[in-house]
Amino acid sequence: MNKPTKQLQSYWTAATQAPRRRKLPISGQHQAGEFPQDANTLVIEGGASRRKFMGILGASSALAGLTNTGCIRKPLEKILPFSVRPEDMAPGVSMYYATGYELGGTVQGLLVESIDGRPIKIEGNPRHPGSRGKTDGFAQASILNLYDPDRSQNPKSKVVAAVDTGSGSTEERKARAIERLATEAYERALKETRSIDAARNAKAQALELGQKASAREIKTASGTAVEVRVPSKTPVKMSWDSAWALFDEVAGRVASARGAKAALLLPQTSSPTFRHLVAEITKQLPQLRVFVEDAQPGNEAEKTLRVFGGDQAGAHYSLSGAEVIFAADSDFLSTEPDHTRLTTEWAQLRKATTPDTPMSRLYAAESRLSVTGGAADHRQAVASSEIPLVLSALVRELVDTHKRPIPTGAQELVAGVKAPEISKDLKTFVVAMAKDMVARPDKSVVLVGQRQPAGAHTMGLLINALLGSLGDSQGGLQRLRDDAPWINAPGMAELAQLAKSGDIETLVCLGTNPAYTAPASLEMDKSLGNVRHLVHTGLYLDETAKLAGLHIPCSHYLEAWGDLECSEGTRNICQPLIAPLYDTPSKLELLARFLRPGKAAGGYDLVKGFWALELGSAQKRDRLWNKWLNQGVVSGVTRVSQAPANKNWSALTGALRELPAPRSGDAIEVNFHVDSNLYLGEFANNAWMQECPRAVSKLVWDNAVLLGKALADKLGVKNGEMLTLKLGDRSLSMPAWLSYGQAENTVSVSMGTGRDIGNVSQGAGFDVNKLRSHQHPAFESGQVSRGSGRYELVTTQDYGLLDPDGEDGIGFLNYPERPIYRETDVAGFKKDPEFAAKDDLIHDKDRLEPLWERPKLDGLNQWGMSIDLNRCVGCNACQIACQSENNIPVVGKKEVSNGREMHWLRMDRYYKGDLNSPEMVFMPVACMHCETAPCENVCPVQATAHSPEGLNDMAYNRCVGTRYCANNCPYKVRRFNFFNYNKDLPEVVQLSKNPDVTIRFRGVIEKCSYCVQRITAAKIRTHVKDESLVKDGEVLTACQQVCAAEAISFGNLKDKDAQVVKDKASPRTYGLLSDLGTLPRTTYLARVRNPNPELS
Amino acid sequence: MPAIFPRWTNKVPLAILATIPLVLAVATGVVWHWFSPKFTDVGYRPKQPVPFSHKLHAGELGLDCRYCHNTVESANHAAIPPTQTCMNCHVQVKKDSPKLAAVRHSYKTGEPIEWVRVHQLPDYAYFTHQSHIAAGIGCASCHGRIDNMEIVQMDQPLSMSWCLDCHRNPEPHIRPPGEITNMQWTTPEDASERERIKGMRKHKPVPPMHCSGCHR
Repeated sequence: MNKPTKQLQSYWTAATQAPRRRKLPISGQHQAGEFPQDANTLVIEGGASRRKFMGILGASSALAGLTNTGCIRKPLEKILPFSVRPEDMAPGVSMYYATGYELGGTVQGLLVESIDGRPIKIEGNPRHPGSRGKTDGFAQASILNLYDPDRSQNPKSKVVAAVDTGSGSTEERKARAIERLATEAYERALKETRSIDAARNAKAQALELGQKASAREIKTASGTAVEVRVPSKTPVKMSWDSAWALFDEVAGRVASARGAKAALLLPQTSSPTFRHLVAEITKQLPQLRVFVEDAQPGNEAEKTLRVFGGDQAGAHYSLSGAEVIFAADSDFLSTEPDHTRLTTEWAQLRKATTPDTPMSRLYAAESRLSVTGGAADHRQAVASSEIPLVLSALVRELVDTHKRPIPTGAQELVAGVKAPEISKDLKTFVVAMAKDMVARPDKSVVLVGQRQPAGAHTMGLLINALLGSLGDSQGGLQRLRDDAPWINAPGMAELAQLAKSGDIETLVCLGTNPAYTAPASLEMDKSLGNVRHLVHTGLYLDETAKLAGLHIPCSHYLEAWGDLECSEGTRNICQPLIAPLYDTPSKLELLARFLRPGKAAGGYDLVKGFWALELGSAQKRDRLWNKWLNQGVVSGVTRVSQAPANKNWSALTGALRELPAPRSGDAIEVNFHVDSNLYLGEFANNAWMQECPRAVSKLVWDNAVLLGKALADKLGVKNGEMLTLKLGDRSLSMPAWLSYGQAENTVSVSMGTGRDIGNVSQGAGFDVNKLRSHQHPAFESGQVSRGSGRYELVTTQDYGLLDPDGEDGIGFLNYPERPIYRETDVAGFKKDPEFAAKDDLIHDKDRLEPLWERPKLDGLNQWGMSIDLNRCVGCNACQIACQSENNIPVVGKKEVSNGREMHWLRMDRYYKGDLNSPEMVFMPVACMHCETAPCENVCPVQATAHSPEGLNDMAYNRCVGTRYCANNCPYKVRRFNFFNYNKDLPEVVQLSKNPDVTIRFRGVIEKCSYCVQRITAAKIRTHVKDESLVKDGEVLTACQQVCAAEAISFGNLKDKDAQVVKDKASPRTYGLLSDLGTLPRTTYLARVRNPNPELS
Repeated sequence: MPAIFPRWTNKVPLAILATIPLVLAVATGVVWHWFSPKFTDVGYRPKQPVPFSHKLHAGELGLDCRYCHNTVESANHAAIPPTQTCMNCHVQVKKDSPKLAAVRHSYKTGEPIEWVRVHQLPDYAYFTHQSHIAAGIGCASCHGRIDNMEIVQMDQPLSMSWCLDCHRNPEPHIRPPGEITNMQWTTPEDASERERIKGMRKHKPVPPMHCSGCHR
């Protein structure tokens, strides 16, 4: 046997395993061995044991035999064709419509697949520069929010109203309305209390209150109605007619007072129509106060830019051609604005096709190990409050050592940047990085994270200007531009202040939720309690809605007309994919109604009306409009976007003085991050996102205090043990979770969790907004101490390990000798291009005889996949895309803790090296479609078999659930349906299922099929056109389609020009565990790091 | 000592042994025949809400199948036509017929007519009409002589083994593209004629015989 030539590398997943030769790691409460503790137990709702279950099973099958249901042919099925079929629509055929999605300043153009009128799957629009055909996981998961059964469906109000639309005298109509009011009160009380007495009381009370109340006439869609109103303590369901009447009343009152003592809280949006309407409102109601909810905590970047370039100044990064990138607390590959586009651009220079292909170099400094830190070539764990110090050191280095020309007017600012005291390591890091940057002027850029204070953004601008990469809208790596007109709104602090002092009597929250998102220090719930007329509109009956006097449910973006503008200026029209499921208005429609009380305006008219201003003649207008809808981007009308005329460097000097003070002795910095799955809570009730393991911690259904090994040892806590965080007078108890690579004396928590807006969000995680203050929204120094008790945290990473070190006998998966993950650096790649293959255990390929006979692979196409580990950043978008495409069920925290999650594609995360600042790598693992698949040979019923095109097929209906295949699969990618996860889904969730993929039932195994439904569709298209082979690019698997880094290629291995063939020809190609002779069809391209020689 | 059982009981075990195979054989036969789709499905003829006669429309009037089932060449489903298709003619022809009351009602109100599915495949079998049509498989091959059916019934078992019979040897069923909807067409006796038909497509169809061909 040949010895591996490369120096042995050891990857690990948790600390206890890291130094090696220890007992298997412990994580959460369960033992992390190959199987979690309860993996072999069966718990049935209601507490039945396995034995009882067998009993029930026997009895029910006996019963089934008795009844004659088994003898009837098949269930009777009806076919309901349209009365008049819409044009171009054929049953069961996918249609794609262009629209767009906006989240936290990231705008992505989308193509949404719709089958039989139901939106099924979200894909990127290749024509849109914000997505370039890709999307992130958020956009993928947003479709589930549409079908969320917990969405708010009816208006609710603290005023109970009943209307009567019948005829007769006003008195008669009033009596009928009161009667209805009383009946509804009776039914409501009965439903809530289940007591007839209580219900009767409620009825009597309603009758009494109703008699006292005066009746009034309101306008409805179909004429007039008589309405009776009585107050209520809690919000109760209300009819749309009454709700609109109430809304118009509020809006009318605001209008008649010209906006005095009223406020509007808007979401941060780039929609031109929305902005136009807001401008109209502020013009018409000069005294109205308009606030905008922060898209990202702090919003300091935006504020800094406005100081720098005027009220309309904005900026965005562009990484095309960027050779040296420094991410200063910026997770630009996962949560920062424009992350999808930035990932695509960054990945262009990470291809490493040959040893001589130029590669970019990524430096990162951050407090919490993020996916960007994992992708970085050099990463420094630095507390967030010290990031400005690193930036000042970089400024000084560029100015003093490298004598970079100082931009005009910035002399004073540069002089204000003092050389900081930083550690020796950090100093070396900065010096080497500066040298690297100066060597590639105008191809180097620093990205400063949204969490950083204004001072850091100031220095970011300065450094980019020093490097010559601060450009205008046409070029440069950080591009300044004039934003579309938008109000310069004050922040939430001022809103809370004014509301508390009683200066705001009416507040309309349009799709915003201040009661949850505002930092606890603002005491927003108290402030909101002071507002006499609080109107809330939104997707959920959320925290603010529960306080509001009137709540109006809003449409999901897939139900509404709209428009968006992405950061670099491209605009697109958003068209609805489906009529509102619950008759809800969109945010635009609500805003228009606020402007013109009593007048319902359709979203289509509003959007088209706005764009009519930009368009010319009517004939041209319709043609262009249709083209925009069809292509998903606005073309033909160019927006003149110029860089701000003046660059006011001296105005920024003040920001430098406001930098965070250095921490005192034992203070610990608490960092708040945007959650990689739930964002700021938008996805809290999204089961896909809750169950998708968090990018780095791999926690599901929870958030935790992430802390480094050193701090954990100091505090004496283990995973899952409670910690108490104390910031000022606010404190919170949360469980601890070890996070390697966390900066010294810092902890990190993610926002967006701990909500109660539906069944999914309930009990999932802790609400850290209760800890935040508005002065320090992103990080603050405080105390962390040991709490009492434990909390069960569930992670997916630490089981499924098969005795990795061979301690219990055979070193079967001995990592060091047969690395699962393979990598080298640029120098190593140049020296030995074949490095990846050398890591194989067996080099003499003749000895590698497959255990089983190779199946007959005589299909026209031979499918295969290649995954580039150099470009994969571990963002999880593929996992969500796979879930959406393949109807993968969600199983819940408890079942995940038993190791029963169903993801067909998992994102493995390994650490390497030092415990305190390890390197981190990701590896997406799905079915390898082995040519000699170990699973196929153990199936007693041939439920899994090979197709002549090289697919490892799974016939669910044949599967009897022995799970032999899952046991025999060396990659552990087969998933078993322990329960009938799909049986009791609410009807509205059933609508979200892809009709092209079978819904699996209990007791069968499932796994990645290479998206066989897409392959089949492409083959049918080819066959119908009478062509021979499926063209390359015709089949995109869901994971490949979504990947912003383009790390996955898939196609026909017999097609010499296919991208996958070119990728597989790379010397970096290796097969996972290919020494087993499985001949996997999915292969990986080993990673190549590009470290700075001066730092290694 | 007198015998407890009479002497004839000695033959009982033998008789049981002899009957067991017989019973098994009968049971197998029963399941084989009466439980198979050939018996349970062929001839299935549910009552439809509208007494639509294919015999009249497709047979005597000679309407092409694709006049109504117009998505058959481009979609998985041949699709029951929308009510509007019926009304294309029936606004003029037989416009007061009581048999068409349900159709007129549907057209007026926009409510669909609730047809009963006749050819029902399990949900996990993904059949597609368009590729079969493209390959040259005629309507009659699976649906039988629809033009002779007053009420549509199942003509073939549509079971997996029946599908596979053709997928393994599709040649006798392949027609020239122009004859797809021709109900009277029969496979030519002449081998060279069969060759000619096969050559009408540039690429020979490759009917899948593996699981994921139809199940996914």
